[in-house]
Amino acid sequence: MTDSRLTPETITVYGTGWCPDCKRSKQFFGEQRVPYHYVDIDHDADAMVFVEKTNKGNRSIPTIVFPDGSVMVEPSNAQLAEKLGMQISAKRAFMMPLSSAADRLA
Amino acid sequence: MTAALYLGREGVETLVIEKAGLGGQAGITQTLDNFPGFDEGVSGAEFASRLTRQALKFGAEILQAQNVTSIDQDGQYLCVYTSDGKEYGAKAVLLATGARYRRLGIPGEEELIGSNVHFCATCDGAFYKGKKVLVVGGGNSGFEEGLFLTKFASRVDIVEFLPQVKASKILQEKVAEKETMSVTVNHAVKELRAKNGKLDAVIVEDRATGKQKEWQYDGVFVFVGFSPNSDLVKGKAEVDQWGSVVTDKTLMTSIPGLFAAGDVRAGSTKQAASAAGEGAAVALMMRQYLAEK
Repeated sequence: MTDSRLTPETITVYGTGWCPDCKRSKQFFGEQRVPYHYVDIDHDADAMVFVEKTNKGNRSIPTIVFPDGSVMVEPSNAQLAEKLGMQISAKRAFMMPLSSAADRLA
Repeated sequence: MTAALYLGREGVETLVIEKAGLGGQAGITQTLDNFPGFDEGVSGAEFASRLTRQALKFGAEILQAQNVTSIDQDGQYLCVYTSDGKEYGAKAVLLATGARYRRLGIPGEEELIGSNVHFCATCDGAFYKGKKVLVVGGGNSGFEEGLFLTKFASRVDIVEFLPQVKASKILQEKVAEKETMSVTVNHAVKELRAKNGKLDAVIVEDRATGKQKEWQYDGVFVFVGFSPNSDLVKGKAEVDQWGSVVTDKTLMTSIPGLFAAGDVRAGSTKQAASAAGEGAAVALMMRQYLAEK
């Protein structure tokens, strides 16, 4: 039977209160106003087993599960931004005061 | 964002660099009740989303989750550096970094931010379903956010440092009507005691008697005013005694080509409507500046 935790309705962050990367990831979702569900594995034995099972026996946190079934373990903010489809770098390095309509349409 | 849509619409190549959610403080406001043209109010999230789409429609490019680390002058250009090591150049730059909720600066606060200490009820209120929370700050923000928190928390208490609260009379009446809310004045929050990364107790001092007390809460929401996000230009551009960026009548700072608008600007009124108005005004001033260069 497939574990329903692998396809959550909202992004689910498995972490602990003492883990700095968990705090950073939660802060990232909060700042970007992306809804997420947080599970403290110190207070949820089943969740701890799930994290260990997902990470080949390792208790790697944060383990973040997305509704599409993908899992990210200890991702950087840039990796999270990419996963969420955010543009993090510009097409050009210099902004011209006036661009022609043709350029803009190109 | 208003400036971006104005400038984009004028054909000026416009890049918006945003660290957090698009739309700034307005985007995390539960409902904008007093933004002109929205007679039935509009949720902050929807407002931010519409504003973003409007700016994109007019050709603005928007970077998200990107932090500006420095703004420097290089001849007649301004260089903007981001945390991923990239550098962007332009003849004119707008500082619209807004303001952030001020922190208490007391022991335990830093450690508990993100777990039991919060600055946004809209963002984090849902974590306190059926729980007991403390709101620090008796101003309009504290009262408004406290009222919002009653949607989730079973108990919402407000504590104010001064002997009286500063919230508007209407808000005070709304809070007084709530059986699950209370207000304590003249108490200083001295420490947020942490145990294993969780809030263990809130240590407060009754300022009238000097007596210390221990309060038990599941979470603390802090609303004790704003600090302008002006660190990028401190020591470079003129700022006032509160750190707000000083501008001239064209909304240009003391650095040629660097403009400021919204909550970061000295003299701003911290209102979404006036921030939008300043955005439109500064776009026209920047256009004029660029035309003369």
